[in-house]
Amino acid sequence: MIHIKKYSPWIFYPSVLCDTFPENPATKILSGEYNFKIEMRLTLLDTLDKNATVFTILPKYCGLDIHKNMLFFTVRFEDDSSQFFQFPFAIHDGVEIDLKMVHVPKKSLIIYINEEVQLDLSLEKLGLYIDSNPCVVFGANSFSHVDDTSNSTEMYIHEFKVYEKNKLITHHTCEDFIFNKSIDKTGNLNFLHHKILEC
Amino acid sequence: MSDSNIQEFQKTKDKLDGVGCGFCLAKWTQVTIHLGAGLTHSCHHPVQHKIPLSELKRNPSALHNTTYKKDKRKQMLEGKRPSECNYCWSIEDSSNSFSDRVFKSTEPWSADQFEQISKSNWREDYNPRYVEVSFSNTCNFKCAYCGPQYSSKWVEEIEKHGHYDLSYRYNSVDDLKAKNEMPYKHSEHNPYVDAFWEWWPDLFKDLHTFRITGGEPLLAKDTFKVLEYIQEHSDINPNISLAINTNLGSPDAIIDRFIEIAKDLSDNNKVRELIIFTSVEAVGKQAEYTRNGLDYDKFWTNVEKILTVLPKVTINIMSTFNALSVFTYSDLIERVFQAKKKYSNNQRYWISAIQLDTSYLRYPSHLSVKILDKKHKDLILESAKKALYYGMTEFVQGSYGFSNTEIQKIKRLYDYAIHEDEFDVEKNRKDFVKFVDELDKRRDTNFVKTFPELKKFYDTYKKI
Repeated sequence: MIHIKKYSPWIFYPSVLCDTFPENPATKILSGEYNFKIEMRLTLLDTLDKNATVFTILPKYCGLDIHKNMLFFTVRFEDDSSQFFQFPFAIHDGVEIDLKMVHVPKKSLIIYINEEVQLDLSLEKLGLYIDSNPCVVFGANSFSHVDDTSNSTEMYIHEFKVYEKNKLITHHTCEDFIFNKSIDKTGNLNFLHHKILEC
Repeated sequence: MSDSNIQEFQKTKDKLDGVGCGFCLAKWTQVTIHLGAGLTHSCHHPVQHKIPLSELKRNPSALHNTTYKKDKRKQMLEGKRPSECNYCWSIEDSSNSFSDRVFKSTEPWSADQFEQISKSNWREDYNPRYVEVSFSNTCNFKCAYCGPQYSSKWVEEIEKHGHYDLSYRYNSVDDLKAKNEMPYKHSEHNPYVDAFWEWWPDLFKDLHTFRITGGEPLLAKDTFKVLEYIQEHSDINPNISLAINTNLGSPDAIIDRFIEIAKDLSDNNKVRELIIFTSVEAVGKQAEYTRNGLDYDKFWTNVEKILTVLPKVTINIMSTFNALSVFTYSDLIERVFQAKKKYSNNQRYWISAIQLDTSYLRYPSHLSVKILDKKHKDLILESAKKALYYGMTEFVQGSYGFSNTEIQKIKRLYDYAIHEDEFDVEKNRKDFVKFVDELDKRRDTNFVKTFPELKKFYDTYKKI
């Protein structure tokens, strides 16, 4: 597992290191035009924070937040408007979350938590945000500059997967690392990485 | 390339084209001079030409300002494109890409010279800002891909055993002599070196970058003479960027003397930056086979000594990736990464303590990665992946890991290896086997024992 500490986010952004390698980074499809599915298993370790970001797709903020023992999902639309959805249950430190995010372009966005549908949003009238070069940050709302305003939180990531339609294109079991990066088991080089330090 | 870079290059191109479609500042500002054989070229793309001794007698700056080169400058100022600069014309004529004419004219050692050069008379002498000099071919190595022009050890071998009889005459000294490009021997008086020293005080004051190549520069007394001159005259040009190539295989006393001078230059800010270029493209015995004369462990001892004693200095490993590199390049990447990590600090002009600059070998073609089987070429991709995992997340002080450029160059090498073009695979494979057979005979080495991974490949082409 990856232990994300406060003020020390991890990022899913393989093309940031070398823009020609990998040639088809998985992050590219995390946008309103594409059919994608994200799966992750997490343990949240700091649920009392006023505002904390579990994960967010950037630069168009879209992801899961904690606010006083509750979970919220922020959806960013193609017209740049946002909507917040509160999930109807309380969480506590040490809670395990099995999250699935299923996007079908111009049709739907469904969020499952522990196999139960928590959000089923129609995108037929207004689609999801569009971006050519997204990334996913875990444990904060930004990556390059992290401070008291970054909504930092602490958690474990146990597993992370990205599918393009039903094809698995990224799989992190978060057990094997090289330097500051978790190894992508698919061999597609879509690594999760920490800013500078080694794991 | 960022938008701002594109705009800057376009601005340079417009200015150059305003003078003439073939105008390039590098014909004035940059030079590579091989003093050992009396050859010069500006920039490094055109074929080098002989420097007439008669011109040197009245003008030592003819090491750069030859009548031949002035004629090319004249053409440039008159709106013509010298044919020797074909490298750039072919890029400009076949694509919308910027050529090196634009890149080199945008460099800090060129850009501010535009007004002066564009208004100059083509007959005028000009002191270059970026100078690369080889004092002689004296070298204690004879790398498989090198030759007599750049290595006295190669000269010795060829004079003893003759050229390599491949599908062509490889490394023939007679051919060099016929072209009047045979370097002076170490023991011989060299008028080109005399001219250099006559010119040097005037040249030094204008230099942006000075790079010493070889042969093995640390075996040339002139290298130390230059270093000591810079030590003593740093007040004249304290902003010089100094680069030195070395195989790091010289005796300890010479390496230590070099480090001592480098420490003075670096610690006392007598140069803007000091970068040491060295070479290796494999690991252990395989590296020693390719770079005959190399003691691999000693090489790394010297690398670590330099990075320890000279905390402001960066070492750049120029890796000429060839067919014999594929099996251990991944291990080399590992070793370089560990050195990057161990010697990372905030004192260097460049972020990295050590850089791995991978380029692919094109000549001699029988050592090219293109001769390899697909499964061996795939090892290059594995190396590139490893470098990517060891990649630096942020290019900031205190960070370490491989840079975007270092990674891209390894990946590009793989693309080159698998790209199908007119490369004659069969001919070069046969030449390869002939070459290593002859190499083993002359040097008492054992190819198959050193490269067991290529035994089947070797056996196959040995039979043909």
